[in-house]
Amino acid sequence: MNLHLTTGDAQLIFTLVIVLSVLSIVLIGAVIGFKINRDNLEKKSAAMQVRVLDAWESGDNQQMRAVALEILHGGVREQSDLTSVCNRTAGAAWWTPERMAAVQQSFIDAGLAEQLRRQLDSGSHIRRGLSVYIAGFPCWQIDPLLVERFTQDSEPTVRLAAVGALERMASAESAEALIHALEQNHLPRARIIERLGHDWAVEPMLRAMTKPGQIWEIRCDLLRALAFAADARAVECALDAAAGPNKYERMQAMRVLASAFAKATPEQQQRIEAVAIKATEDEHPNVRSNAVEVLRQIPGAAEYDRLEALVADADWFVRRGAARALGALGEAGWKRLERIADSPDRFAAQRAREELAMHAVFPNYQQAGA
Amino acid sequence: MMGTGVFDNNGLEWLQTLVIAYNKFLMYYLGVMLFLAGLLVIVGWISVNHYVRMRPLRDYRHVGTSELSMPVSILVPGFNEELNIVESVRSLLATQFSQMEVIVINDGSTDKTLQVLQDAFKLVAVERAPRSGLATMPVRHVYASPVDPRIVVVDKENGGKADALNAGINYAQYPLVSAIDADTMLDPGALARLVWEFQSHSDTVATGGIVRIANGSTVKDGRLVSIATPHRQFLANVQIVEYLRAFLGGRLGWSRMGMLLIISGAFGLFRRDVLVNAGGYNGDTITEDAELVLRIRKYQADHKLPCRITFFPDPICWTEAPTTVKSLVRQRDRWHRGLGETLIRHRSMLFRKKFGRIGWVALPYFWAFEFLEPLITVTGMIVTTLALMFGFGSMPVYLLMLTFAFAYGFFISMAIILLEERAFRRYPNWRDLRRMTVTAFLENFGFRQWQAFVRMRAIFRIRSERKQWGEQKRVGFTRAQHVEELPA
Repeated sequence: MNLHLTTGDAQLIFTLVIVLSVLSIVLIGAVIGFKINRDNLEKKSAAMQVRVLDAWESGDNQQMRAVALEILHGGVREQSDLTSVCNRTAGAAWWTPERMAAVQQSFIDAGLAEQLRRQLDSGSHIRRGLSVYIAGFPCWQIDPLLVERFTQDSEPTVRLAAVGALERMASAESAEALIHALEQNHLPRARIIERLGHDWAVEPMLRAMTKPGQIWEIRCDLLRALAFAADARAVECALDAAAGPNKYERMQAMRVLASAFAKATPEQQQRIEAVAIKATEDEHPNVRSNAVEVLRQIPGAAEYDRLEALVADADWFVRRGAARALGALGEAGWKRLERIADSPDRFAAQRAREELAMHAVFPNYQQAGA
Repeated sequence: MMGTGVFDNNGLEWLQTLVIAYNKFLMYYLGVMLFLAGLLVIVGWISVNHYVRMRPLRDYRHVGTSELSMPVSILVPGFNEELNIVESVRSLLATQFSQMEVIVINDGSTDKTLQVLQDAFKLVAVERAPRSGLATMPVRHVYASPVDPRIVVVDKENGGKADALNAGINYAQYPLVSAIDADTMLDPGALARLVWEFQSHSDTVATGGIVRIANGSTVKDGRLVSIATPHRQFLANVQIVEYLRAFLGGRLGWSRMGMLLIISGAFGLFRRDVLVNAGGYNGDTITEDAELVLRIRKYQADHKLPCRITFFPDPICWTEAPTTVKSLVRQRDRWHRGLGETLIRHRSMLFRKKFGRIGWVALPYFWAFEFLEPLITVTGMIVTTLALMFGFGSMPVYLLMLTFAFAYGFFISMAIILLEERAFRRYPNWRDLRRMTVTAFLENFGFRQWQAFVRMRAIFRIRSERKQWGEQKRVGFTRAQHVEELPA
């Protein structure tokens, strides 16, 4: 017995060493090649983006068609460049109706619109994703229903790109598509809610709220999105929900009332105040906490005693909200906080002292959102 | 190729049998290890390719600005970090993420850490109620900063890094918590990218980003303004290559296969409730970061909860690497002892059905090819020398095997450098590429063997004295780069 290799084994290892050495040299070459190539690609990419922007700004149909053809005959990189230009020009002021019509027409003339539409059925995540991503930008508008199905795509990046596209489309149809995606539950709800909180989505959301058989979870999500929209049209719906039996809906309804208070009519404001005061006695701490947020919106609200009592609430968030609401009321509120700071209720005193300390440190504490 | 050794002594024959058997075992062991290393690199390649292609479609800017993005509390534990702490906090504040707070935990520093923070951010003592009750050493004061309301400083009595992190968790008000070393700096978009992972996959409980070496780069106002490899600092350069290999080749591969076991203590993002439920960081371990991930996996599996733990190659955290042999030895010794201790502590997870791939693949791999590898490598070197001395083997064969191992190591390193160049291009100059390539070649001649000795020694020192904080002598980013830029 001995540890020696046969000639064949030794030759095999020797061959492997040679192969590895050659491969390593090839890799060094590839690194150098990539570096040179990437430098060139970056320059090409920058030049391409400039060409697209120049063409779109010039308004020259020929030039616009030429860049559209260039993207059409290019690959993923050219379409990625297009997404960069789309992002850079996303401001509404840049896109005049004439420019939008001209660019869209150039996409159709060059066949790029058709290619992007075909790509929606591609098996490649990236190609499918690029089409979904570009949809909704002013250069290529398509039916929101075509994009909606991608909120259920197998690739999370494409799903998120789809909700972004639907938000950019900013129409009642795209809002309905987003609401449908919310109901389908294929995406984290927050990702859809944050895209729905706009004025163009308010009417579809209100319709969805009253849809027969609508489940309470979706109603809660819609109320959350309505709170982001901060629209007076949502007040009546929120007042109904605030009086309803579902504590989670009451909780979200308070958010809507807080955000829409400033835009509500005086008559609605009175009703909001009454509902909020009643909600400070709700059994659920989050409803109480959100009701405090409503009271914070009411200028000169004389609910000092109620807020003072809520600083001693059993729930941390209610205590914090009430203390912050008192702090926001200025001198009169601070005096109340000073009194609470000396109270035997350890938790209330701690909360009040914390609030006073923050006001001492940050003159604009409430605005800073600390 | 045949040997010529002649033995008529029973003892020598027995030794010969033993040596030869061990050598054969060693060949198979190295074969499997090199195969798995290659496999991890291939999986890493696939993963990076997918990531890079999808990158233009990810709306990180929206994640950074949306009101509904998950807010983050960044914990920065510090002990005697007066040189780096202000730069580090400034870098974190420059992060493009709207809803966050930076909680610096001064763990009873004996230098001017608290003083420099007070001077830089005009700290004022405030009352702030803890949000959870993880046990920690007493907190002396909590400070807020009128300069920036996102800064909170928790000044506490010394209790070690884990204790400091637990204090930070107690005072964190947001659902995601990121633990970041005080000697590190974040890329501005890093946090949004990690948060994206939580927002796109609701079962994510933790995710880690890549850590890179900042030695040689230039820092201004808490941000890296130019990235470069250091000049004439072999130790720092070799660590640059090592980190790339470990993160892009190792962790990315494990993450893709759903078996990630380590999230670097220098930069990780966790769900706060999961951290609290799992009991927070354990102060009784050498490397609290490695131990935590395994404990989270165990807790989630025990309670039948989802547990997606991932690694992201792009979110970048920059750190200062040790530049002296002594501090590097200390660091590697600590890491290896920590790994061993963690594996021993959680040995009950091995080959258990409920831990799935973790128990059947990842943990056995870490035992065999991470923890015990230096022991096997070093004993292999000794046995090989013995075999040569006694004429059991032939020098050309061993040289051939050695050349194969070196060539393979260099090949893997080059594959990773190519991956870095193709996907991220963090080092823009040709000079950096040249340095990395030369280092990847040279590290095979002595450095790797020396590392194996250091790590083997650590195996026998698992139970030895443990420091509460890794004692790396800092030179500070700015000063280090200033020296670097001086003409020779």
